[in-house]
Amino acid sequence: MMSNMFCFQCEQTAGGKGCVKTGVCGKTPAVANAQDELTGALVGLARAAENKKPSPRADELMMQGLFATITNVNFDESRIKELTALVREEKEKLGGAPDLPPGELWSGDPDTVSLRSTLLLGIRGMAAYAWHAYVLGKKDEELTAWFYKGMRAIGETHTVEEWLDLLMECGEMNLKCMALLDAANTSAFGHPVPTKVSTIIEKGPFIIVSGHDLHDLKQLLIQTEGKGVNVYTHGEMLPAHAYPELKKYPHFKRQFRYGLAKPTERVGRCTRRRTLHHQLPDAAQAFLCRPGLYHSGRRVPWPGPYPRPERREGFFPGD
Amino acid sequence: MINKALELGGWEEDRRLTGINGGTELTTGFGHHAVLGVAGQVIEAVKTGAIKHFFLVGGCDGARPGRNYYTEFVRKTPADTIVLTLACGKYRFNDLDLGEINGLPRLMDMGQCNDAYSAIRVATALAEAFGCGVNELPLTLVLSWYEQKAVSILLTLLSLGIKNIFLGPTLPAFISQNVLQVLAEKFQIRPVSTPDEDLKAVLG
Repeated sequence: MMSNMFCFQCEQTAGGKGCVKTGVCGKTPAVANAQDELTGALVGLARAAENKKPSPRADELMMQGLFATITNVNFDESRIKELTALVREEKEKLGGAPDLPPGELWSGDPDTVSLRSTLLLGIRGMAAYAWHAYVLGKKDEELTAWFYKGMRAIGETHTVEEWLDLLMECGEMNLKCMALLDAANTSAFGHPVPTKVSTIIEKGPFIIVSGHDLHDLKQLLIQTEGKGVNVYTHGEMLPAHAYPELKKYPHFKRQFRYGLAKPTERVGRCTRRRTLHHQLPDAAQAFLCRPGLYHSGRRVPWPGPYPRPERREGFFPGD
Repeated sequence: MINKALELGGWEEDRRLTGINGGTELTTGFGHHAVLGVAGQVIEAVKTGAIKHFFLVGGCDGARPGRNYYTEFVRKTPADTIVLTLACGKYRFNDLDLGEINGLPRLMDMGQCNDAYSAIRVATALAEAFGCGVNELPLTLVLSWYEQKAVSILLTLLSLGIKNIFLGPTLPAFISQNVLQVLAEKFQIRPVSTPDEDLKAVLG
């Protein structure tokens, strides 16, 4: 079989080996290939930034670009291409450098591919946390600079020992990054206090918020105050109930079930055997709303009609 | 979006939705601030033998079969052990009522996956209190992974020198045999097997 794409970054990858025809997550080959190109462009940006001071815009694009390649975060080819073009613009401002050809990301001897991929995926994961902290106004210069170092390393050859050292460095940086996000969350919303949360859903209008983004949740809580709409959490948003500055809103209550939904127990009409949490486009920042799926208040970044008929109607709590 | 929600009106009656095991009450909010706030109580309970072991069962949830491992594992943890959890893997067991040890809930949800930071803070503080390294604590990490944020957290744990991590439900496709061997030698990381076998390996 001809391979249309290559992606093996999640636990559900096809055959436990890699998605080559289309993504198990719903990612099309066009999106997967555009993400590889974006990744190659980020290596180019990192190369151009060596011994220079990249602009805050370049820093943003570094984090955003990496975040956009995480499983289920962005399925929109045009947005990925737009990001790639913006990354290249910033690269030129820094004097330019060659991108890493996307074909080189996943090629080489199996152990090199393994070590390179582990580093790249670790950097991607860290970028999500760095972005969430950044949205709350927290940025760390050493951490930001390390994204460039890490992405340059992706495009270089290393010995096994050097790769292992890079992996450990990535782990150390991620600890710093999680500490930054912890500081961002606790300074914005207070220290979590043990809180009981019911899963019994009240009658009346509601909006379900899923994902990780406490800042977006706070904005929605402010805007829905006194409007007669309850706000419920879903999936990874559950811990939001414990933050004093979020739990103070009387219309913020309850958890909409759990992360995983069995096919017969779905909140929506989806029939695919997938997790609800993970089948959402942009699960990291998705707003679930009846009868549509919104992303930070806008429709999710999914190009045109949903590509699978069973997804077309979005999520209908109550069906 | 708010107008859309109002227009649609929601459900006419309360709906009794439940967690995966039928429970309707979840508890969250045991971040480092809350847990370290009762550190004295925790340390005392370890010293008196009321708490024999800590498990950190956390990570991502996913749809492939085999993730009931985590439900069964937590269900089978003995009554003198504490289960710390974080991230969305907890939906496999966070509606279970595991009871308490000296007023401390046996199951404590530390937050989102990035709150692995809280778990690290707590583990480091416990190690300090007992004058040992994190690897010498009666603490076992049982992790589930799905996507790349979990990869970054795993790298953090390894960079801290944390050993004997159980990783599941399957090993990453991007870890080659040789790289796995290196990680196993350096960090004694191992794949999960069955809850009974793994509990026996940890507790004897």
